[in-house]
Amino acid sequence: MRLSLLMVIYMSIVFFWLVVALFVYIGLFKSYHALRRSYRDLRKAVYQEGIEKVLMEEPLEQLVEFFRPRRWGDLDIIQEVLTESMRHLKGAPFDTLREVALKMGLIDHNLRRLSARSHHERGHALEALGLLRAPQAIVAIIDILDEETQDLRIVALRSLAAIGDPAALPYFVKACDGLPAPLLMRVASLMLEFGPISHRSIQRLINAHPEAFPPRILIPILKEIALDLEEARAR
Amino acid sequence: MTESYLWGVRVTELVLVYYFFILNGIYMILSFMAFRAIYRHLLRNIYGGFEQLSRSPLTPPVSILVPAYNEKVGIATTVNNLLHIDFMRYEVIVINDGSTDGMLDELRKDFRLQPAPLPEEMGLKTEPILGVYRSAVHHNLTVIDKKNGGKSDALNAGLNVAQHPYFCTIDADAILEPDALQRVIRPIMESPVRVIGVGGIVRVANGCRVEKGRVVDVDLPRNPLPVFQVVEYFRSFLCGRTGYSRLNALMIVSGAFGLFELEPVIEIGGYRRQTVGEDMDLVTRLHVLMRDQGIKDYLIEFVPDPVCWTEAPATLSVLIRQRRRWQKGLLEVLSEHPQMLFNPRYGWLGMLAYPFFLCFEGWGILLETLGYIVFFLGWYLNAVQTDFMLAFFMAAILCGTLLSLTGVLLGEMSPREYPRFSHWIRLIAFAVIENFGYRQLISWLRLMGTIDFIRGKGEWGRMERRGIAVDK
Repeated sequence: MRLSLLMVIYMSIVFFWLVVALFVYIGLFKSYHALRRSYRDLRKAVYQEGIEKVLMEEPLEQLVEFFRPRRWGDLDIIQEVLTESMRHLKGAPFDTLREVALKMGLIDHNLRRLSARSHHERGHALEALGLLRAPQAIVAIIDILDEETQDLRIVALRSLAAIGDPAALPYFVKACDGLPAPLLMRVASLMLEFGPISHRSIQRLINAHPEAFPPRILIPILKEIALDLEEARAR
Repeated sequence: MTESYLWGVRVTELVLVYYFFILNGIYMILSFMAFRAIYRHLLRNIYGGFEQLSRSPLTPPVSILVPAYNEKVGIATTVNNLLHIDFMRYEVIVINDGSTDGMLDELRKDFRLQPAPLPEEMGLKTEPILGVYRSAVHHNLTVIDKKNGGKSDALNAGLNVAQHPYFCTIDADAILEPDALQRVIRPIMESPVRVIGVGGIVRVANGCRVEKGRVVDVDLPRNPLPVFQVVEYFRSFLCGRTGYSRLNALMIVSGAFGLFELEPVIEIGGYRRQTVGEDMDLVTRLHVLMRDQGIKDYLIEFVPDPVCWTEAPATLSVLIRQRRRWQKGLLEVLSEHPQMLFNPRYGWLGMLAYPFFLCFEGWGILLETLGYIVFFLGWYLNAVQTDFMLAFFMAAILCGTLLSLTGVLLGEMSPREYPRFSHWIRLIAFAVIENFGYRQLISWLRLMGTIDFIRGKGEWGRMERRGIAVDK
């Protein structure tokens, strides 16, 4: 048999099985995700009622009881419901939800996930700790700053900024040590979340890495600092 | 005579098999890389922190440039859509490129435009600007009225007026996703190296339900022609561009939507007017600029998130014009930069992307055509065996289906997928059917485009819009 014909026949056989495999994979993928999504939506609807109970100022014990996982795998769904609502709520309802999260052990659950092997699981846990505004997590997050990859280091700093404890500010400067120059502006933008209290640390960051802050980057930072100061003076 | 003819057929046969092998092998490697990249990207999106990024005062502001020619029907909806996206600081600059359908009057009326002073410095040469207007109701809307000079010229006029360090170009009939800028600005803010350009997935809007300038229901069109293009867009955007982006060898960011750093674009003289493939030309020249300056630490990235919806040609005549123009534009750009070919100074761009585009996407069509001629002539003259022809045909169909299915799978993985089971069945069916006619049609149009390039003929042509930006 000719070489060209042989090659074409072998290729056809390989392609055929690859097409079949891909077809099956797409089918399984689509079905799994459709089922998973509808199941999660159903379970979310169950716990969504709890948010209304929070707004109606029901006692904490009852709320904790309501949010207790009823099925295996519900903890993740509950966390999603709580953090989604915390994005939009302020004041007493926000504090109640944070208390519920603490009592249910969500913060401990995410702290444990910080040492997970999966990069994305750690990222997810860091994000959740920030959204839950968990001051208990500050030390743990600072501890892992040096070891984490660049992208997760940014997620960790974002969580610290969301938690908002100015005690974490010096660690922002320290975390920049191994970061490439283009990422330092991102760190500075996260530091600005702390308000006027961050200015000295930002100054320290700029002094330590002047090459990362050319005028086009420095000017918006200075503008923002000036705005912060103006606001503080007005207050 | 007969023996040498047979020998010629055998050699051509073998060349075609190798050509087929290498072409599809590269596609498959790119698809595999794209699969990994998209999977990781989607997982990262869960903890993306887009909200914080969007409201951060240090997130660079963006100028959105909308070149428009005779787009009276949908321009108000497009501009309204752009004025309500989720991003903190941006301006919208509409460039009226000498429209004759009263588009400027429409804009004047809808957005209460008032004359503003012309820019003092015009860094890029363009056709004369007749006037600049600012909206009395939207502080971030500017309209430039200029003499007709084509899309590149209109974009250059917009660059002269742009005030922000990054700019984004969008077609006047396209629909931007509300969080599109957040998604494309993230690589700029969170990449360890300088990012000078970012592209995203442009999706086909035909068949989708559009309300108030937003895609509210993702659906497939009934007309089969755009459905073929849905499969094709998935394959090209999700497999090809994501793969090249991993190697920093992306040669094209779609003209329908792209974000760029202003400074290097001004440095290369903005968009080049003498080409019909201005989007690919710009990206390639940006690569050349950076590499020639000895800068290796930069990226032109592709974000596998849907950012923009556009109307795909629904009639054969428009498709014919579009594809001939694309092919001519590709060959123009490739012929401008022969120094890239297998030049290690350009990294993967010079060693893989440029040769691939040159040999397969560009001039490869001539070999494909030769292949068709030799096969059919050889078969007619009994020089090519029927079993070989059938086996090759089968391999080509299976391989084409495999690549299209990969595109469909990646499309299903990315956000705003086609929601219904029937969509999935149709997409898979079209991924198979396209091998029997549509692909051959596209090859034919590429050949026509190549002939246009050789003859130095061809221009932009008119896209007949049915108005997706208008509420249905």
